[in-house]
Amino acid sequence: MKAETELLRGAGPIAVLKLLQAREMYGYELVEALERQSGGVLAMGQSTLYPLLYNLEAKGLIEGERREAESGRERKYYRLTPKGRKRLEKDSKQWAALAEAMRNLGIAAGFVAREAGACSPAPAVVRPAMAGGGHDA
Amino acid sequence: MNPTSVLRSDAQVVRGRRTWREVMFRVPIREALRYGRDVPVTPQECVAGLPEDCASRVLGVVRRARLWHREQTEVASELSSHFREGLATGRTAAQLLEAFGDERRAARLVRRAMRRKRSVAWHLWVLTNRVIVVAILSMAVWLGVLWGRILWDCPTIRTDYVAMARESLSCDVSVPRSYPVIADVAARSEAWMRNNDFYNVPCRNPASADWECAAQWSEALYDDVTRLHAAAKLGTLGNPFDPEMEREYVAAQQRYIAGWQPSKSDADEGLRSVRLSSLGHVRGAARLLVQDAAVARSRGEAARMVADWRALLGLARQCSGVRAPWYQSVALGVYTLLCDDLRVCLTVRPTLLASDELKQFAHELASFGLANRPGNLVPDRVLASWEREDLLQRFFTDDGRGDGRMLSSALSLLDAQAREHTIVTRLTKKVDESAGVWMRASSTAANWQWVLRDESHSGLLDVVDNVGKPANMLGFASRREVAEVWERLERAAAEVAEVPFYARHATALEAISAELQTDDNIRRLAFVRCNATAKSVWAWYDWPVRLAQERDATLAAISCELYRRATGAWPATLEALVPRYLPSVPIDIYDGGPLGYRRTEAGPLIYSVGPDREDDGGRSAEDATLWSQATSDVVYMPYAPVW
Repeated sequence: MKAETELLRGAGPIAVLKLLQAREMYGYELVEALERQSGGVLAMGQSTLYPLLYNLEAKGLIEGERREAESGRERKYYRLTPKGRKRLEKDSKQWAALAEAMRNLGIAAGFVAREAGACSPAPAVVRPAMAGGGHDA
Repeated sequence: MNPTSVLRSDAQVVRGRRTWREVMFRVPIREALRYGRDVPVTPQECVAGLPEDCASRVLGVVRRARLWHREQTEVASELSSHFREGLATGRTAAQLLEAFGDERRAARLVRRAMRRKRSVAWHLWVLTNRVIVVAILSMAVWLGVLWGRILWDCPTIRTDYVAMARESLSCDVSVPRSYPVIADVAARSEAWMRNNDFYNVPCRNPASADWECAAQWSEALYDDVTRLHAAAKLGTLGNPFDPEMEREYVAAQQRYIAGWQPSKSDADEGLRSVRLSSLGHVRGAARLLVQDAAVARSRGEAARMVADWRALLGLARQCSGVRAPWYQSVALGVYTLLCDDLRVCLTVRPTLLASDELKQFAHELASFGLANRPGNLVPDRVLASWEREDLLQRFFTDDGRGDGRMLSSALSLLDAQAREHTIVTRLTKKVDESAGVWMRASSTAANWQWVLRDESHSGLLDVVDNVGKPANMLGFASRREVAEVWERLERAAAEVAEVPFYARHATALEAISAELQTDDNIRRLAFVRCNATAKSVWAWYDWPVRLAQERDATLAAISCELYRRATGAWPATLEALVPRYLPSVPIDIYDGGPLGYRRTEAGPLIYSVGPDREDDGGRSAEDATLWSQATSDVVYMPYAPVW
């Protein structure tokens, strides 16, 4: 299932940051990884990914470096900056809280178990991470 | 991949480096500024080797994104890499293009993203431009709305004060009027000056560089001077509010001045009543008479000089007979010229006139005064109030409740008034600049700083008028505010007029004037018409007193000369002239004491202590006049020491 554009707008940046947390990647690799690791849910139009990367770069969350790969092709590799790591950490917590809240509302998985009385209290304020998103805004 | 490209830090793609010599002499300036020594890669070079569809998509995105050249290369390079990687994984160009998405959308997103990457300076520049554009557009809309309102507005003439004034001042049509002669002579005089490109008249000093041409002027018009002598004996000048007089003005101008056409304000009857064009002709006639008297004096022609003086006196009397406030002021101006000329004569040609002639003229001069006012120069308050009400209804809109805002046409009225009301100033212009001597009468102008004229011809008002007339309209005070200040001025003037001149300290009128003469340009402009009124009100209560002193000093000077002829010596004091030559010792308006007098080797020294009220023994600064704020004494006799 592919996510709606509005949902993807908030999720896309953090997904890209998360992928870059492990290692530096180039554009096409990111496209492939997003599609593969999200089971196709976060597969965004490839034309959307590059503006997203430029936005993150403009905000100083990632940085790019062009260099020649072993294959001989020229690539622009992106990696997280310290600022990007902090943002990822912060956004991850917010997304976790959001997911928890959604579960408590019976929207996400685990609804039945919590319905039986095992649910934890919902977080006071939940705000989806939009910091890296909004690249289409 | 483009095998010739060189990978640099970040995303910059260049093909190589030029030498400085190449940069200096072979590379276009624009490219040199953008890339320095780098040889840039073009988007077309970036997509080299890609399938045509893919290359077209990349170039399409780059073109639609409308980016800077360096950014285009960066995006083209990145997207080209994307397609090359896809092709390397075994996907077809069609699959990649489908996965890539819409070209327009991609271009839009890329453009936004790349603009965000630009420098803070660029963002500030764009923001500044936007602010400016928004400001200009807002201003344009604002001005447009105001223009619309102003063009839509027109004055509401509820009462025809012009007709009322015409009726009030109507004179017997069977009585011969002097104005037709005055208009004819003044227009001929103006034509002469235009033809000879000479306007520095009158000139009383034969040593002046202007004397020759000024003398030619009066000589050329001598026949007209004699016509003025006769006209000045007539009973009346005419009714300046009479349309017939306006027609005579236009006809005279057109008769003698080639190409002269009535101005827009000349053609407007309402404006004509404000402008009172005939004043200009009276001024021209007075100047001609003064010049002729100067020429007669220089030639020793006493009779001709006296005839000119009598004509000036007659002209002043005729003007004072017109009760309109501005004609009263002109009467004062003409009378001042006459007093000055008498003292000039006593200074430079004391024996030109026979004693009997001198006595006779002294009587005529004195008979022009009543109490402390020369002539019956009390402006008709009813006429003055009509002028006020007429101006208010022509200057402002009328909301029916006594309020309104200033009309754009009011600026034309202000300007017309400014031009015409400088008449007295222009009448009493300085006469001998080269010698550094000013006519005493020029002092009439010295303090007569027409706020109206100053403001209406200032750079500030010109700019505001031309560029932002609507804004100018907003700057003016409302009709109610102006009327209120105007009435306060008139009330204060009436109160002050009852107080002796030397006791007029910190009057209500001065307080209001100071209030209007604020340093705040906006407020001063807002009440510009009230400032003009303040000056005219000042003229009502102030000028006559000052002129009375000019007259008394002149009569004292004549008396001294008669005393000298009778006794062979100058009087020791002014008291010695009483009662044979003077009914009493003249009072100095500044301190209430007797007018200053000293007998010197050169002759009598008659002076006032001046505005500082300190007796400096007749020591006068060069520019000290009765009308200035000089801290020295004001000397009446001798008139012009340098002569």
